[in-house]
Amino acid sequence: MNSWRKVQTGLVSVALSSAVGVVAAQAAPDSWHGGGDDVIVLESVGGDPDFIGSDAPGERGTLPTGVGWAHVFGYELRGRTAPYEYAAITDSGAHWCTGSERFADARVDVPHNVYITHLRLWAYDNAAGHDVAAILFRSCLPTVDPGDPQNTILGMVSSSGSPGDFTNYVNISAEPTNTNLCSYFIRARFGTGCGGGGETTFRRARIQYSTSP
Amino acid sequence: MTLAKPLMATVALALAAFTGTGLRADDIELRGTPAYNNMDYVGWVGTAADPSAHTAAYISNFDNSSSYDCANGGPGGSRLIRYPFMLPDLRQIHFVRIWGQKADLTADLDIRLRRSCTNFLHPVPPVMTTIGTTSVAEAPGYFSALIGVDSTEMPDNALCRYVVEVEMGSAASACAAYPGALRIMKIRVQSSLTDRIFRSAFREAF
Amino acid sequence: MCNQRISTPIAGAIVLAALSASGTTLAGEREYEWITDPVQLEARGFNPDGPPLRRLVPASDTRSKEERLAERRAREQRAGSAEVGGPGVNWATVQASDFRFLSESALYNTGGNYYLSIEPGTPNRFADAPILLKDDRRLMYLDVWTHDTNPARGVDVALYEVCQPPFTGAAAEVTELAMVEGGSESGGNAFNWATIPVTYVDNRVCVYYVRAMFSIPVDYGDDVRLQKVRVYWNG
Repeated sequence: MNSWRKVQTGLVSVALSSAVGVVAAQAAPDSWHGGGDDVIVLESVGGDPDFIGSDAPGERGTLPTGVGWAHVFGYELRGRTAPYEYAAITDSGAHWCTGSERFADARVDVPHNVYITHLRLWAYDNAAGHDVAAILFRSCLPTVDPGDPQNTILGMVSSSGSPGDFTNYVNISAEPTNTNLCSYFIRARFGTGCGGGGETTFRRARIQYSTSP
Repeated sequence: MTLAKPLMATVALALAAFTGTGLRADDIELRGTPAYNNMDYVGWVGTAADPSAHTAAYISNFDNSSSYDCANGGPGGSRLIRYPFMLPDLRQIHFVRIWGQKADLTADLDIRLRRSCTNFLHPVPPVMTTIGTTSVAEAPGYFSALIGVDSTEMPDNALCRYVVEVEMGSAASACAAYPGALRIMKIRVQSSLTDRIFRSAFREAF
Repeated sequence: MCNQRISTPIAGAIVLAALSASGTTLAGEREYEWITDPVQLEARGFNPDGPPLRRLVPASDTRSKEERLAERRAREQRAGSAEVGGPGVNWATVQASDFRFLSESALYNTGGNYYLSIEPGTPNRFADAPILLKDDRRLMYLDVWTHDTNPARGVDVALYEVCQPPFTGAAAEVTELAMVEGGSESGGNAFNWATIPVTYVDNRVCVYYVRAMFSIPVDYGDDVRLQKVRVYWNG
């Protein structure tokens, strides 16, 4: 199911954007994931249109056994570099950058040995020229040996245009989590130069996982 | 399973007896059995805080405890910090306790436990509910403040996440005259499993 | 970098007595030493004029690193795959980008790749991260991954326990449980660890954090990178 490949930086988000199904394509899509050239991208796959595939409740609103979630509020994000200038609101969970650094990360507390199935982003985008995105990263190291971190993008969701209140999701297809070797992060990407300001805010991201594939 | 029900009922009744009086204090009354009578604790040092903006000035070298010391020595700057958390499903939240230090001429502390629940699929902003509050005023020195939680509060991890908010006065004046005068040292969340039978499985889910 | 032992028996007795009075059970089996030298406190990012720091006497192991590493590898192989959330999960990790510097004025860089380095001239070079450990477990190892190509600079990482009475405000009793010194590394990626002397987790009374200590002078950039920290416990 999984397809692994190494790509150059600029190709990453283009491929993922198409997988997410963003409604209105931009003339010049913002494609940088904020990491180095050696980031691996795990291709997203189409999901089944049932409960699991769409991360929607079932007909009776019940949840299947063995499914869990982990949330990240926008205000948990920390700048990729310092100084990182930002603002945040408790009630909506919103966070937005106000300086020049436009990437920020937050750790996701995902259990060991589960299958991450979905990434969902809640955001606000009222700026036609700037978008807000959530990128799910996995960063791994050897167990008791030194090594270069192996950083992989598992999925990405981005706003497009100026939808206002916004939510969307992407299916994730990866091997089970391994919290011994790997850490999982949500990276927020704001518009170039933080140009969207408070009109492009990251409110919340949620990981859905399952104990079975 | 047949054994589980009577035990569940016993535990529930015991908890109800403690939690339904309105006089429920910290877990000191609930102790007496191993593992603190089915209570679990999770805690963070002060520097785990998420400041609401980069204008929140802080320092942490007053002692060795990794406390969050408000360092806005004059007007201006954000005074709001947050400690978000989640607990496994089927867990009842009992208390949030906050340790810190507050000296003379420091801003009062308003502390809130809040629950933020989003709509499962829709883009509307989440609903924020304040579950409990406490405040710290004057100059108690070292303090320990408690937020009690209604006995019906259980996580809904599909939709909700919790946050402890600490507001260190207003931006109109200094929060502290010197670093270390106003600081958050520790946050602790106390919870229990409603069904003790499944304790070991869910307890590991942190 | 921070391996000088300084013992202050009187201070130790006072704190042990205080702990006993507060009802904690920490003081029974562990062997402590006290760090009172302001230089040593400051080297750890603590207030040089602040309270002394209690430290567990580091575990002694005269075997070579290769021998000890072989033991770790064998242990890893025996552990196998742990079930979801089950007792086989006996670790907690902190990624370098999870650390928060001890002042908002610090200048850092994660490279967008979840490591942590300081920028030259940063006004603060110490960073903390909480680490959530399971109750009642005996801690075993403090593992640290770094990338270091500067022979004169490095980053140390220590694990601290912060305990207070369970229901009342009081000064914290802080204990350094273990430290991994990375100052002598310069060969690129490195994995080092320290064995944690006998310590059982008590989340009712204590919280735990790890501290990254980048060396001085702060004239280097991402020559020195902290990558990840992990704590292992038994069972």
